[in-house]
Amino acid sequence: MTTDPNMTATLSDSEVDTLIRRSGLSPDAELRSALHASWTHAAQVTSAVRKPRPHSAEPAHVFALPVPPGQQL
Amino acid sequence: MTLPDTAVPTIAQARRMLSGREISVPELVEACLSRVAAYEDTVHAFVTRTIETARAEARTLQAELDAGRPRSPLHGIPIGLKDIYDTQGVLTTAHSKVLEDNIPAEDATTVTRLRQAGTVSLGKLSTWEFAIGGPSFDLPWPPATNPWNSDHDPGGSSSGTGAAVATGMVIAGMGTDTGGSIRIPAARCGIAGLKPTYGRVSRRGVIPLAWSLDHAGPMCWTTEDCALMLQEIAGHDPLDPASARAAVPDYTTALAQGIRGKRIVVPRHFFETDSPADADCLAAFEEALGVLRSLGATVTGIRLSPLQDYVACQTVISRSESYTGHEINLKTRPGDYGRFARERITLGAFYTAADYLQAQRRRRELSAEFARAMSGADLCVLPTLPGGAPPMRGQSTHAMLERPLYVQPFNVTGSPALSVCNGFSPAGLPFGLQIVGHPFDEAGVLAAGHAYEQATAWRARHANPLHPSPWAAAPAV
Repeated sequence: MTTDPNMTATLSDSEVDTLIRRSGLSPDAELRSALHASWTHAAQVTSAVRKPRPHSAEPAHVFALPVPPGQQL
Repeated sequence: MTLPDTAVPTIAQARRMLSGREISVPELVEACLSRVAAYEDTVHAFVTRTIETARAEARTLQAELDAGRPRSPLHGIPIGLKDIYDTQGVLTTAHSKVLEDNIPAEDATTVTRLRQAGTVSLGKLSTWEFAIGGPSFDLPWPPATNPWNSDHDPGGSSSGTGAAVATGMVIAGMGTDTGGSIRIPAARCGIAGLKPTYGRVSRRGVIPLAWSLDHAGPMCWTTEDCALMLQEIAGHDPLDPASARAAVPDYTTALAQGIRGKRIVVPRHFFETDSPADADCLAAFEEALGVLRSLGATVTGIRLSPLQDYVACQTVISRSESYTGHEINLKTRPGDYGRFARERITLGAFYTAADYLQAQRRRRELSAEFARAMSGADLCVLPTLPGGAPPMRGQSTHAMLERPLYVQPFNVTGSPALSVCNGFSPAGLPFGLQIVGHPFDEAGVLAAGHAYEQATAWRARHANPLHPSPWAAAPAV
């Protein structure tokens, strides 16, 4: 997997608190601990998709409007 | 006539028996219900059984048959629906306390089509909670178990559908697949499961996990049965914004085309180095490739981006979209989710909008890469999973990231992908062979799966949950 060196695979307690505050969640201690422990996985997958790309690299879900009848190819 | 206790009639066989008056629709339904009575306490395939409704429908359908008015090749076939398909007036829970009282006002489009085709629904089938949290023991209903050995995982998330089909409790069923959830339980339960092309089968009325990755599809004992099911459910649905305006070919006729002259490519690095498969699984795969060669196909290797890149792309998209759908409930009633669903979905809160859009940009790149690799080929073939089913208990929250599977790439690309049984581990647990095609070429994928099944003897072996030995059950009908 291609990874982003700026993405740390571990988080401090205060960094976890920041992420949780930003999300608006109020996890209990068990869920907070699970999320903290899971960060390694989140960091791996997000770093794999964060890569330099040309301007032409559009997201897959950019959509096309339906063409009116009579104007279709 | 009653059917043998342990054999599983296919749709094709049951159809011939019905039209030959060897069996009636009510008798066929009762034969399945007798298996439900025998196995359900062990297999836990159902959340809700609709037995009396099924019996009434069976009588109506038999009257139509007697009058010479079969609705379709599925007329009178007992089926089951993963419990994330909306069913009018019938509890639809997603196997979750969150929806334990949810009774939809309308059927999903696929449910309507299957009803119009004359199928008889025996009920709603177990799933991982919201198609992501499982196998879980902290939900209102127990998880489905593997019909070949109930201490093992049947695979998810369409676990109940896999288990019910493999035991003949239903003859066919519907699953959904966001990251392998049709193909994984198909492989682990030893049946056939088809994830059609994204947009081929309507998602309308199916509780979403991740809108841009969700696929609805059939799970059956044979590929031929998957073709018969797909024929009735495929086609444009104006109520599904992702539904494709694509013509639907005759899948049953296409089965006969076989694979002579077909060009098959194999991304060996996925299962040899990126996420190595078990030796027994690899041996079964090589044997299957030999069968495909003997049937006239040519096989060459291809190199794609690492499997982990496809899995990362699928994971960021899937978790971001699923968290979006569940955000309010996770904030207001987190205790109503089981641990696996709560932890897996909530992790999506930590991804940023930029992460999601980078994953969607990566998706376009990976889809183009796979299309280039397939440009000189007809099919791509690889194992469905790296080994047989693991034990039910002791699985980790992020098992699919710790040992990536070979199914998620084709949710990213949206390609049609079929899993068929290609052997068993020494412990008697099934393996799966995955056959992937060009977009909207389900016909080619099904023809290959059918040719493979016809050339091998795996369909003669049946699960018997009460006697968990791989060869204990009777031969096919």
